[in-house]
Amino acid sequence: MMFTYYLRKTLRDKGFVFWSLAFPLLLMLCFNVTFMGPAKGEVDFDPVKSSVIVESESAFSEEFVTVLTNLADAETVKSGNMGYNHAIVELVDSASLEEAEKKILDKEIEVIYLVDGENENIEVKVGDGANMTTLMVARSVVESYRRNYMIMKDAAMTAPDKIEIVLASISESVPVMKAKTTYLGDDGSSANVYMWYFYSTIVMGMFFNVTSGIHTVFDIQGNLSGSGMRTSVSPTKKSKILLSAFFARYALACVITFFELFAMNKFFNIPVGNRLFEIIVFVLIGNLFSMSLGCCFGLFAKGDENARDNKATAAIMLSVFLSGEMIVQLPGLLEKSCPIVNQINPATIMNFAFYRLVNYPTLNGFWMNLVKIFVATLVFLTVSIMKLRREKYAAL
Amino acid sequence: MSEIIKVDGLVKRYKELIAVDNFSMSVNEGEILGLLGPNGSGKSTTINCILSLLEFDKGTITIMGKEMSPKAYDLKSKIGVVPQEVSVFEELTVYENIDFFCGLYIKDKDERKKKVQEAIDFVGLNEFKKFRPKKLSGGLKRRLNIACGIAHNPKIIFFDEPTVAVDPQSRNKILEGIEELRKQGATIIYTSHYMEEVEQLADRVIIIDKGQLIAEGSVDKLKSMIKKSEMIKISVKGITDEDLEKIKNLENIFSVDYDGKHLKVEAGKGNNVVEVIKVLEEKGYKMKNVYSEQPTLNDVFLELTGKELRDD
Repeated sequence: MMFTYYLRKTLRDKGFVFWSLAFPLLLMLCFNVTFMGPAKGEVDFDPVKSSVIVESESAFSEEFVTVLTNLADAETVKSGNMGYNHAIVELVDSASLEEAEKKILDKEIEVIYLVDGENENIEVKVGDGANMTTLMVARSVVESYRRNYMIMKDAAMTAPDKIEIVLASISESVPVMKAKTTYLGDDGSSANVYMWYFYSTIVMGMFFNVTSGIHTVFDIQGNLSGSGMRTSVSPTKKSKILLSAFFARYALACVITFFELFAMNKFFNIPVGNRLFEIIVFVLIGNLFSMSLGCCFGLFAKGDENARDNKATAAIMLSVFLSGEMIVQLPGLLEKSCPIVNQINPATIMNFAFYRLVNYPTLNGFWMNLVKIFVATLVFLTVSIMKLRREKYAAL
Repeated sequence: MSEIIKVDGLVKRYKELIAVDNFSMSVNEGEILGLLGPNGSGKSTTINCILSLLEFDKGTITIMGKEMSPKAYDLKSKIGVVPQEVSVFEELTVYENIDFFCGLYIKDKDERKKKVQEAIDFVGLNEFKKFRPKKLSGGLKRRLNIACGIAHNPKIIFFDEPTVAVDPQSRNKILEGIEELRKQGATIIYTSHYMEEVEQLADRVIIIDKGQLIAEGSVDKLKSMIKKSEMIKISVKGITDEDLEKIKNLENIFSVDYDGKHLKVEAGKGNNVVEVIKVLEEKGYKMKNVYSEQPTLNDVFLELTGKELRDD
């Protein structure tokens, strides 16, 4: 009876339904429109004919040539419904700068990349009649390469063991290039960094259940609410009420996350992999974490229920933001400047867990991340239960 | 009547503040006990201690001869509570709310169904049973609050200021309901700072202030404890100082107040109205309206503590 009523109560809670279900789905839709829509619309443009002239050689210039060659070689780069259906660059050999400039004038090529390897500099030259697409592609290629090269270089020098994290979070404006520079899944599919936005949204949806933890505590604690007072003076054991209130919300939260994963996969074509058992464990632990964190907020934060909801939501927003929900390269930058943030930020840990689950051939990293979250969950649950066991209060 | 609740030497401190100070009381089976005191006097704290919600520093509390504790589930099953604030779930309907809270006491679905319907009928919410609380007026919410506390037919019911911010119609309905519950055999502990309600309902009244018992007894007994027994109000013009002095010197007269049109005389026990009128008639004053008001519990409280009972 209690379980059913708590379930019904939660389902009718507009805040819960919006933040846990509607908002993540809306966000996914926005990501889909923002990142995938235009990309799909641009598939008709011709590859930009380009020449590379290396003025002085170094690892910088060598890697740039490799990247451009990869971009030119890509026939179809697709991950879900993202990316282009053809290469965006066509490389045309030019023996010297003069020859390349002549080709531009003859409209044989549109862009010259003049690479100074020693000074790690790339100059872009375009013809007078270059259109906007050409300019954007040329600029994107150079900017993305320069940024990624610097991040990679820094990471390799300062934290070589964290290079995969940096790799995974590098954002690029050119999807093709991103597909080449990020990790390739064990099934050979390209892992697109834009997946990160979707995975982050799934994690955010789970973490918004922190408010469910708060509401659970308020429903049963006699010193927090009138309804809690009513349940406290009733002859039904508190533990029974707690379990009903907690698991009704938990079950609902898990169902919602599964639905979101389903929607993400079916409607937005974002891969979720085929490791069903691990996905289930991921969802169960993720929601358990947010619920138990919510219980702690409910029990220890100050203010009324709304104030505690707001504080918890703010904390979750910050955690999700730092995990790259809005700026996908943020975890990579944090890894360089303040790696501890990534190591303790639950949203980042969960994002990496899911990213690894979907894209990595081995699951060591996935399980390691989940263990971290699970340990935190156990701590929150233990602290909450210790406090919730109390049946008499010092003040009401 | 046997003692159903006994509180002995209860002390509850909040750091330096003593909320309940060596408070003792008893409640007899089948009576309505009014616990009267201003806001912050310790009424709700006492109730919460009795319900074993609050830790207390000293004292013993027994209900039906057994010590009350959070684990005393057999005692808890006989108690109903109507909290001061409307304590229901906004997401559930009227029926669902009553069913949920009743379900904490009664597991059998059929029995519960019957009792929930009885409670709905009792508080007059039949036509609103599919409504969510936010669609109800303040008075109807209060009735729902009551229904949630009484649906399981408790033997002892605590009403903690159930009529705060309620319209007169709902207030009367609530008070009638409480009297009806007593007729059905329930013992009722009713806390309020509305003295009229306590006067109307209670068989016995305990006046509490600063956590201490100030006085206890029936309403009549409490009124008889104070010197003042009536307030005489007369509309009359032009009384001279000499005549006012004459009235002041009458037996049992405590104070005389005159603003040129209205005479107010505070008097003790005796045939005071007749005596005052006699003086005024002798001097040929033309009187318009004459009132004699009996003392209220507020007067009792005022005389016992030196301050007004109602501070709002």
